[in-house]
Amino acid sequence: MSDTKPTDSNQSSELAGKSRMTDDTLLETHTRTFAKAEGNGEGNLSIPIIATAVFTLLFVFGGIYHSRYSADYDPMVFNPEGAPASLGPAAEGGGIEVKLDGEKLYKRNCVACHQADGQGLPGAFPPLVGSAWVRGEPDRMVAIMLNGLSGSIEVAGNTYNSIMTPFSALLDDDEIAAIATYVRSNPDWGNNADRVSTEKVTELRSAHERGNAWKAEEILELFPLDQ
Amino acid sequence: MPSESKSSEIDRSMKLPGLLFLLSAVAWLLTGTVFALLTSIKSTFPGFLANCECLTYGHISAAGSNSILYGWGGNALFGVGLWILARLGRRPIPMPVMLLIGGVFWNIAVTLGVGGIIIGDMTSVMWLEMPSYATTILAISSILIGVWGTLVYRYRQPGPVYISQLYILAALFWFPWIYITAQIFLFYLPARGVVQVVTNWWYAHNLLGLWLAPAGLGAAYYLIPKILGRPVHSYYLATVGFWSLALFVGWGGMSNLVGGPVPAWLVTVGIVASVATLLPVLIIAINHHLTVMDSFDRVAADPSLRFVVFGTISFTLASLIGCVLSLRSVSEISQFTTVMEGNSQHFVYAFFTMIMFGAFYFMMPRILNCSWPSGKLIQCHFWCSAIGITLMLIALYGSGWIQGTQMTAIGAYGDPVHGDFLQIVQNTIPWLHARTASILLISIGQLAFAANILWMLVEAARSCYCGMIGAAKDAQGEKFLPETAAS
Amino acid sequence: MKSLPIIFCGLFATLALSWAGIIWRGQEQLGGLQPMSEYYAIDAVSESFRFEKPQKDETRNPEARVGLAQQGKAQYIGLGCVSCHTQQVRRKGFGADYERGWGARQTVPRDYIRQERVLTGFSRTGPDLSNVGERRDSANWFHAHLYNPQAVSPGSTMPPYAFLYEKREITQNGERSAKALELPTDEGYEIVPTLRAEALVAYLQSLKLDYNLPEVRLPEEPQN
Repeated sequence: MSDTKPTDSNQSSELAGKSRMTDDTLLETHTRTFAKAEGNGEGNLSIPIIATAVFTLLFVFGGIYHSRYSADYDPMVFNPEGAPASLGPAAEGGGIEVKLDGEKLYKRNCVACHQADGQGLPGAFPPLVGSAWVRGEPDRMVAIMLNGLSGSIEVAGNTYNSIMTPFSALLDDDEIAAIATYVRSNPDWGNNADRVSTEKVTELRSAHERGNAWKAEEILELFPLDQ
Repeated sequence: MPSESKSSEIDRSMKLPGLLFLLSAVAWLLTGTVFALLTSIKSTFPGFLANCECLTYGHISAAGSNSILYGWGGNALFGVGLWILARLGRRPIPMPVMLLIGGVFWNIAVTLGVGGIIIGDMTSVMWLEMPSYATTILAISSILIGVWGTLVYRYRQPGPVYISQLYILAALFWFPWIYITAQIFLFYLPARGVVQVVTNWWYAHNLLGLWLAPAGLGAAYYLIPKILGRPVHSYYLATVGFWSLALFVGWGGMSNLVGGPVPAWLVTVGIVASVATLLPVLIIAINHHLTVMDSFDRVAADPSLRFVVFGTISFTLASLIGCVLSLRSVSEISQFTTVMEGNSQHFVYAFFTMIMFGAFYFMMPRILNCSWPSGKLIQCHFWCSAIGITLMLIALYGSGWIQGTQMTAIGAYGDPVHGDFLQIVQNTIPWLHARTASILLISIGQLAFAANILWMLVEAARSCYCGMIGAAKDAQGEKFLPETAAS
Repeated sequence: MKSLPIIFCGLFATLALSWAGIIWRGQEQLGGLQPMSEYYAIDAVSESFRFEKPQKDETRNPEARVGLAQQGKAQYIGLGCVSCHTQQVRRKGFGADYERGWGARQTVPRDYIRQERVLTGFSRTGPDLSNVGERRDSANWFHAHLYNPQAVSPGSTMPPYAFLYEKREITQNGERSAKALELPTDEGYEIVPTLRAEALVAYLQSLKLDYNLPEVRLPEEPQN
């Protein structure tokens, strides 16, 4: 049954020609051994005993390693050995107090009109410094921040006429609370009112949901200025 | 004998596509090696060819890996794989011209791709650097070739199915699958953020593990028993090995992301899979190594078998090393160093390429019906390749390990022991010189290989020409024996 | 095991399993990440209400890379810088990225969500670049380094990118280009970066890991 194909190299022609299998023989042997293996469950199924031991070890290792370091498939755990700490207690849904930087938020959202020093622009945008609208109960200020205000408004004896856009869709409750707190309690501006809590903003948001901006009169009716 | 005539008929049907694939594979191998040589020289002498933008380090290192993977790897895989499929199906290839078309387009795509990389149209995504004008052609031609492989299997002669057929079919099927998926998730509908990185490693790992590796293993499963005239240790285990390989390899790439910006579970899954891959690796090792165990004289004597056995041993070693490298405590050091490059060279060159060399030595004489003109060149090829790749692996593993330990060492006061990064770079340079030397050695071997093939082609053309004259003279009633007929 | 459909089902299923487990699951977990204020300490997975307010994004981290720096990224990609440089910082205690000063905090998935192509890299033949814009503050340093790395970092194996620079003759009246670099060159000549070099340097300078995210914060600066 020798293969009469050309030999592969000159020096090994004898060896090579002697005992090559043809494709037919290869396949026949294959079928024979396969049938044997399936027939009595032994035959060519022989795995060296050491290999069996190694396979078992592999699976034990895989199982232990996986259960130990898969961190419950949490997308925010990067150190499999450390605590799933990266997000802090909030990850468990606890109501921790988040420290928001009111000054930074003020600078991003408010300075275009009220200016960095809180003095506003004469005739257009009222000042926040020493303003009665800002002091006292926070409701007034937060309500304006949420829904905006249009038309004329009198602050510290001067009249301003412009539009303040609503921020309810742009900022979250805690951001509004942080900005209001910053403005109300800024000692540089002569303000020292209480801080505003996120819950207060949430409450006001649901209580005063409306599609249009406030008029100054409406606000004064709901939340009169302290005298 | 019927089977003899049948196999020569099969070989004839595979002659043109086979030659196309094999010859272009060798051309890409030489191209890739030239790029690798330049890359290696540049990594120690940064000023070398520095004024040519096309040949900047980033371009040629990507061009080199793409030439080797798609140019050499793809062509060799298609040529050898389809031939083995046809041989084991015991039917000639139907319409081989379609394979020719697929092969031509594949090579056009690789040429465009590598050319694109050289002129700077690269994507900078590992092993997917080719620009979009090459990738579409590459994907379509790989589908065409894959479909033809399936047809060869579908219209085989009724009879048993051999493990090599499974491996080669799998390689032909998996490549378009992973390639197209990666293209979509990375370029056409890019995934958000690090999902791209995850996709990239999934692809890169599978390119070796589910494309090149099955082809190499399939060829080894065919050649070892055939040349030795003895069945492999256990065909039953071989099937188990195949399916467990298919199941585990796909997950293994994630271990490369250790410490990176991905959730820990992804890495853990990758590590577990890499360790689980030892199961198929050991099965394959049992089958390959136990089959040749007591016939080392035959291995030493047979030109094909030498390469194939070197390749199978490398597969076992590279997989074991890859498994160790995936562990967190080891990859903390080896990650981002040349150790990783060493491990992929271990797979691509020491395993896949060496087996393909063996398969070429077995297949070429059959499709050309001609013997190898020079045994000395084969000897030269084997020893240069074997010593060269061993030297390269030592250099890459060695330099990478030094680089890794020095980069991660932290002193008693929380400061890095080797604070000067440039000093670490300098410490690896002697090893990188060794790599340059190893590539030189490897290219000598490849030149011997290419010379032998060219010589063989000339011989084959001459005997074919003489055969034609002979036939013509026969027709005139004259007796004529071509001088080469004696071999 | 002979039937073709069964074989293909098997081949498809085994690979599809890993695809679903890795890429699909990864996309599900990480594909919806949004830029966030560092002050948010909420569960990042169930942040569904964020999707309704994209107009706030411009003040959230990470910020988008725009303009010249974005063009520079194309240069970074086209030159293949990724073959030697990573852009990822491993956590403190794993490797020595923190100790080497490559970044004060680890990088996390959210850091990359605004990048059209993510270049985390795979090799550290050169140093990590996640924070190189913080480490080196002058554009001139980058230009000098790109033009001739060995002059700035002796012993470096980085190839010179002199082809991104133009060597120009100084005009008759001795007027130098405003962009000319202070680099040694032949008498009567000056070295001027091309637009590509400027873009690349703008990109490198934009690589900064100087912001906090809810899931990972920079270490507190010591009070003094």
